[in-house]
Amino acid sequence: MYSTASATPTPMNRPTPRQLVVWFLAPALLVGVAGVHAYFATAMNQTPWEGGGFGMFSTVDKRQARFVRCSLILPRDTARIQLPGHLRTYVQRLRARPTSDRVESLAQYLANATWVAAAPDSARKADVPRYRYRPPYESSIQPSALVEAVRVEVWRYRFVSRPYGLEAAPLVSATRRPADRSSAE
Amino acid sequence: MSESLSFARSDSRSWTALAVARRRLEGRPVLDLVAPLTLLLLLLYPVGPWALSVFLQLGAVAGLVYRPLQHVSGYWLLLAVGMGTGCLLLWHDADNHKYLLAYWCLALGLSCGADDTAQALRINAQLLVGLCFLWAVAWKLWSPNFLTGEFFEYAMLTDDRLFGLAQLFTDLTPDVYEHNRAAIDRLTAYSSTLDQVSLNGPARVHFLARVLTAWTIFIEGAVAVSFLWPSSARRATWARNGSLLAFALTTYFATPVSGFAWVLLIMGIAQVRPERAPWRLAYLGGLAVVILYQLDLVDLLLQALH
Repeated sequence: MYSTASATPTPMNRPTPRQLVVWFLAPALLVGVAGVHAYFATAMNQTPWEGGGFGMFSTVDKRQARFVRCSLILPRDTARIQLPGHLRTYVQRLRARPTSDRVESLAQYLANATWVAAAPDSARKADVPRYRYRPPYESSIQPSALVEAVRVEVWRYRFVSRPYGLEAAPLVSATRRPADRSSAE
Repeated sequence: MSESLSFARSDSRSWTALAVARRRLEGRPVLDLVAPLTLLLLLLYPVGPWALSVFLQLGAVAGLVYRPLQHVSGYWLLLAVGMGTGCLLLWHDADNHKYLLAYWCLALGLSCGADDTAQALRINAQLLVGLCFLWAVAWKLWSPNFLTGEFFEYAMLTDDRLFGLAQLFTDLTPDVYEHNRAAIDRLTAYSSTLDQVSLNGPARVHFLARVLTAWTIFIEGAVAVSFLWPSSARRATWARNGSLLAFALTTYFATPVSGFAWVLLIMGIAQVRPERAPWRLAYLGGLAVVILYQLDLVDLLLQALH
């Protein structure tokens, strides 16, 4: 068994519990973590690339193949929003393992946040959102947008080879109303 | 005549140098060889938030400067805990070789406290490499788009790490690659309403992808089987070391992911028995070649060709 012949002789030449720990703890930990990762990947859509399961370079489905689309649902229309910078790590985790809980929490957080109209001239540019997140510390006289709900969708694309292309579909989504509105109703 | 004599002399000199290197490697405890290499890797590729990374790097410097630390079990266990914590905190971002390095630090810590350190290191290294490759092959066999070759097609068309290789063997051009990257940006932009985009690429990418798929399954399978096969016979040793070196020299030529290459080759050195010391020399040579790959040889080749 892995050439243990030169080990310190013990009765019956069987390894002692201490030897077993020294020889097999690290490999057992590898198997344990990779097993947990495999469970998360199959049951919770975790990407095979991240999480210590050694699934890198096996599939197109890595974190970068998943993306988040968020919309403010306003009384008259909907508007796409860019996620605030301080949520970067949260969103990376969401993309790596997009569970319903995570999506719902994000949607609720964004619904409770304050959204104000972006600078007037920016609304004409296609790549600038109409509304921006206003952090609590920012003092502004700008009126906040009347948000009825926020919708968060995590999408995933897959590769098709004939002809070459990418096809995207929603993986998980949630819609949440602001806390004050839901409690008032 | 004199020319051939001087050639023979320089040839014999290099053989002598190799023999000296071999003798030195045979006489040296394996821990003295793998510990500094591991610390160097830790210094270059720590994991975790910045404070933890700095802690790990300072720890690595301490071990490199004060060498007796390399024989202290608690020192390695502390580094293993640091690496493990980093992987746990940044699980969504940490590369798999960071996990492997954490297990390796744990193995070093446990082995330092063992009666036979070299034997414990050998068993740990052999199992860690074998199991890591077993999982890697299992994922590739399980994945719906690996065996079809689609993964490598996608990677060559859109991933800068494999684009160079595609450029070398197919008609893929930088313009086409830029078009594909722009298509991905259009699809994933926050305001996008698209649900599909088209990518461009020459048909030969498909053929190259099939070749890469077959080679990857073969070589990773060979490493997994040979490292998990419990034998120290000469043929088993050849299969083990030959497959790992072939994997490192071919894979990291195409995709220079040096951190992974380092940790695998360090463990490769650790699992070599003292009587097979020339393999340690081969692994050190492999390590030097992998470092050379950082010069982006594919790009240099492309420049030379065009």
